[in-house]
Amino acid sequence: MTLRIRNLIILAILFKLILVSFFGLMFAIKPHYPGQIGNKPTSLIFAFYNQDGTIYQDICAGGYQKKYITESKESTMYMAFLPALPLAICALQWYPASIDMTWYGGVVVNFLLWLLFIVSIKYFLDKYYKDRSQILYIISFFVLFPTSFFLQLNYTETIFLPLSLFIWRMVDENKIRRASLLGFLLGFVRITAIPFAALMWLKYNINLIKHKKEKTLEQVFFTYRYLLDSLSFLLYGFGSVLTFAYFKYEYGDWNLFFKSQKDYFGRETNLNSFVTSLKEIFAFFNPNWAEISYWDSYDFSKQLQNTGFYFYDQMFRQINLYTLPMVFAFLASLLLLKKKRYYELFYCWAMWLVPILSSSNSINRYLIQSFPFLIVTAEAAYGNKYLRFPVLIIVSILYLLYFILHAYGFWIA
Amino acid sequence: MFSKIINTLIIVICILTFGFVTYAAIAPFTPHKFIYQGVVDDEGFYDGVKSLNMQNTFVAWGKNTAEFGKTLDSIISKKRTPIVTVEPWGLVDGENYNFQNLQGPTYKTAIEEICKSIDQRGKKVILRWGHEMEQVGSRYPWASNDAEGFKSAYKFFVNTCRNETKLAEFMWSPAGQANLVNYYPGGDYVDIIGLSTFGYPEYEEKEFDNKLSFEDTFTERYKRVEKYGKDVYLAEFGVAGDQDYQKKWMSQAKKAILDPLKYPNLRGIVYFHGGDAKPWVEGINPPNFRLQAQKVFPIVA
Repeated sequence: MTLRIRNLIILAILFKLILVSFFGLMFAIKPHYPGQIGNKPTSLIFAFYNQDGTIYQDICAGGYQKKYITESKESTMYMAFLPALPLAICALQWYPASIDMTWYGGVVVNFLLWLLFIVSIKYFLDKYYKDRSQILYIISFFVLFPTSFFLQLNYTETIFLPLSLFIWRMVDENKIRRASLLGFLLGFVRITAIPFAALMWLKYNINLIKHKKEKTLEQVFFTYRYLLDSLSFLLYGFGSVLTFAYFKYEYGDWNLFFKSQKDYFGRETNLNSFVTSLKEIFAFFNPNWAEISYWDSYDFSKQLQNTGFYFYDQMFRQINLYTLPMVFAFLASLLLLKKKRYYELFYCWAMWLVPILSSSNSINRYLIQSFPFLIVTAEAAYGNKYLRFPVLIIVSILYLLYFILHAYGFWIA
Repeated sequence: MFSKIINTLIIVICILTFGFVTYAAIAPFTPHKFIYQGVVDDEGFYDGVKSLNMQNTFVAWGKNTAEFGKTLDSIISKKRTPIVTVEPWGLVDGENYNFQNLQGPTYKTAIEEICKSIDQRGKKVILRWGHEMEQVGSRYPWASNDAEGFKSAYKFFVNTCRNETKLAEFMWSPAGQANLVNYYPGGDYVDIIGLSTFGYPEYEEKEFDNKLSFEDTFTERYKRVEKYGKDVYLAEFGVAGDQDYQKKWMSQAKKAILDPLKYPNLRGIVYFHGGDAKPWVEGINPPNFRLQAQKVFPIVA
């Protein structure tokens, strides 16, 4: 018996409604927490439109140049981000003028992308799993995975992940050029479309070798079709290259994207940031808090003095941001190794390494892009009748906890 | 059929991508933040240059109104926006120079004449009253320690002028020294902030033991006014020295000015094509900011 997409969509809509109702109620009862950033008004929308999620809305509303005020000082900054999400928000502006744009980007566009994710994961899992309950379990685990709450927010995960899932299956079905067309769109979402393309090309080659049957390697690789298919993987980078060309054309700077990353997040890709990232990852084993300069600059301890979340101290943050995802990744890696799914293992670490090396301080968020980790864990949990529901309950509790902390402005991922 | 469509789409994407990337690479860059470019040019050296859209002229208030009108007409005829640097010299013989007196009836009339003249021409004019006021002890009497008096007189100027015309914009224009904050009259009275930045290698070597680049001088000044959130103009900028030095200094200045992230509020630059009769300190040559290297200004053709 197959799992019908219509039923899944109804469940997804219900899930979204429950979340909206929950946070509506939460803010009605407890509107303020000192973790909130800046002077943003407290409202239900804050749960879905918070932290970096505001950037894409701002780009849609005001372009790449943003005036902002910090400590009564007004400055201008370029938010030269990739355009897919801002364009998605802008392109669908058919809403009545009475709807606040914040609601529109944070909830309406996200709602459509959320449904796209549900369709994509169903499309993906249908290829590899036949058991209806198992598919439903894996989807539930994925949706309730602690950092999957980003799928409910104005973040690029909401486009990148569904497109990746579609592409993965298409590559496995040898629909290479169709996949490359989606890859072209992917390049407008995140620059990680480029390493993703390399990984998909590798997958394509592995598949060719695996399914070559009676053909010689020469007959597989020295063909016109192979050449064209391989070249089509270049399309994955075109979106980003076109965006950089636009920045050059409009602002005179090919490098504006990376400059913005540096200005906005202090993010730099160089040897120093690599070393810093490694230190952060392993800081739990050898704590040296002074080195985690990013957090020091926020002076969280002051913010936390009057909050109910007493446990959200530096140790908790460290565990949550670096140690737990690492432990999870290693455990999931063992599962993949046990099942001899080496390519998936390689894919997961390769994709995860990109944010790690770019000195991102939210590597647990990027775990969901290494989706085979989540799927294999869900698969293993489902396979053990004693673990099946406890695991789902644990991830659900963590999911809710993470989402609540995020809604109150804590940097949780 | 479907795969033909896919292949066609891929080819179209490739052509468009290569086309646009090539075009972006070779197309001359027009800054996103449109940089207004202008000159102080009493010698008419830049008269034929069409890419200039401003001209700064220095006027002592209370002088010949007809002459002032002619100056405006001349600038407007070149399709440039006049920036009128109004120098508030004392007009009444025997009167003490102070900001209280600058708000008297004689001065009120002088302001009204200037602003009526602007209104009659129907074009926008930027008025820069009491420039470089925070450089206490400089050549100008309005550059004094009486910051409160300055602010009061500045506001008087703006209020009086606004009664006569809606076409004037007001540029508050310190040189860029650290004490400028004391002289800021408030956002309601300022449309644009003007700064001055000069490269004068002889002077810099004597005073700072080192030649200073554009960024060395300007960045600090810019940061002092950035907090006010107004458009910033380089109301006067220029470089002295030999041709090679001018070329190098201007090349670095151009790069910094056009960098979209470096001075995001910088909207206009006015090159000072002229010189000073006296050196800024004893023992060196007076500065000559006239550019000897061709094609280094305007920075965007």
